[in-house]
Amino acid sequence: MVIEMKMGKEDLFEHIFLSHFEKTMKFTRNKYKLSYEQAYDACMDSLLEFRRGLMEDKYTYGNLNYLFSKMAGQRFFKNVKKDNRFEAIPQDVVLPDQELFLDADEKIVLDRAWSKLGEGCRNLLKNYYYNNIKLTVLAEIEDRKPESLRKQKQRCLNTLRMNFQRIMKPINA
Amino acid sequence: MKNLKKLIDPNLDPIEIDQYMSQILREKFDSELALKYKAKLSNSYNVERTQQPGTNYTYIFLISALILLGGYLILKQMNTSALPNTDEYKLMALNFDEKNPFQANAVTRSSDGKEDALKLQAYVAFEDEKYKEASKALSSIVEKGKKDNFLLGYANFKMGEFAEARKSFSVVLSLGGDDTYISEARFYNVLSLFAEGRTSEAKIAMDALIAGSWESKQLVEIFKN
Repeated sequence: MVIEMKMGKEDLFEHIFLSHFEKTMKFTRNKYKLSYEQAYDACMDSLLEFRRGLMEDKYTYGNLNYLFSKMAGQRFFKNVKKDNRFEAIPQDVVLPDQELFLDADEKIVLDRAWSKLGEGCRNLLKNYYYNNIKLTVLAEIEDRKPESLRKQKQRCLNTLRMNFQRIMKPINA
Repeated sequence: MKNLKKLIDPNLDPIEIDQYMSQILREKFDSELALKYKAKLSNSYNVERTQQPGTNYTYIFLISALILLGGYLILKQMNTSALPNTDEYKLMALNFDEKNPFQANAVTRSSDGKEDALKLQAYVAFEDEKYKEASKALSSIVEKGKKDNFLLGYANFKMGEFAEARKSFSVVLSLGGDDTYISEARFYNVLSLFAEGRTSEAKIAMDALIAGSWESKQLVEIFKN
């Protein structure tokens, strides 16, 4: 499943974990006495983290659904900490350190700059930075030399940064 | 823009560039994935973020059909295939640049001398685009008419007090009629909702406008891609 995910086929992952979403919500609601919406948000955040963990080969075996549920609980307490609504957080819960980096305006700039990139650049940057696939692996998949792919990645990165500059200039003027 | 500015800094270390890139793309694609999962959860597993009162499939079907119909009408009205997201609507509403600000026409004709003075003060401040002063004077008027309520809402809108502005526009709209203030109040009410980020409510209010009306055309012009 993880190999397929890395190749961009996520149907199986989505089927397994979206079908367990409601069950995990129920578990999380009962265990941590959460509202429906709190449990939904916690499960959604943890599903994204869980997917990331799988892509980074952090989980290799065991009861994955239990892990998903446990992560949902942790995610809820992290959300609580961010909202500063409660003071007490159970000792056995490890809070992942993840703060939002971009504000709303920056997200708009990013979307516009990203849409101006060619499809090749978008795929390369997404696979490298988001899917955490090494350039050597990508080069092997695409039957190219790693050095040429490294140069392409650099060109794409420069283009994206130039796009940021062009879009931000009129906004900041 | 501080984080994106850091990323375009020519002196930024390549390792830091990689860290920033990983972070911003993670946020971008995670939020896109979350939207995809939400849609699948809703469509395939009947799990919504807002709890349903019970499993009544007829009710769910009718609501879904109404939402689809509403979406279709909004799309049709806005004459665009790719609608902006909430943040983009908000930014567009906040960046709404009015070429000719609304004028108060500083003339008053009532029998109350004190109220007259307040109104005159408010209208003059309004025409000078001193909206804070205008808002203060308008708020002090005890018997506010349609015009005063609209001007108060408009002044608050100009100051970025969108929730307050909507309260005044609601009063104007409740007074009814078919005049400039009604059209203007409808227009600024929708714009205030978008500016507050209440996109769903804004779209519903926009959908309720008469197609081809001044306010409808103005809004389409602002939010078209």
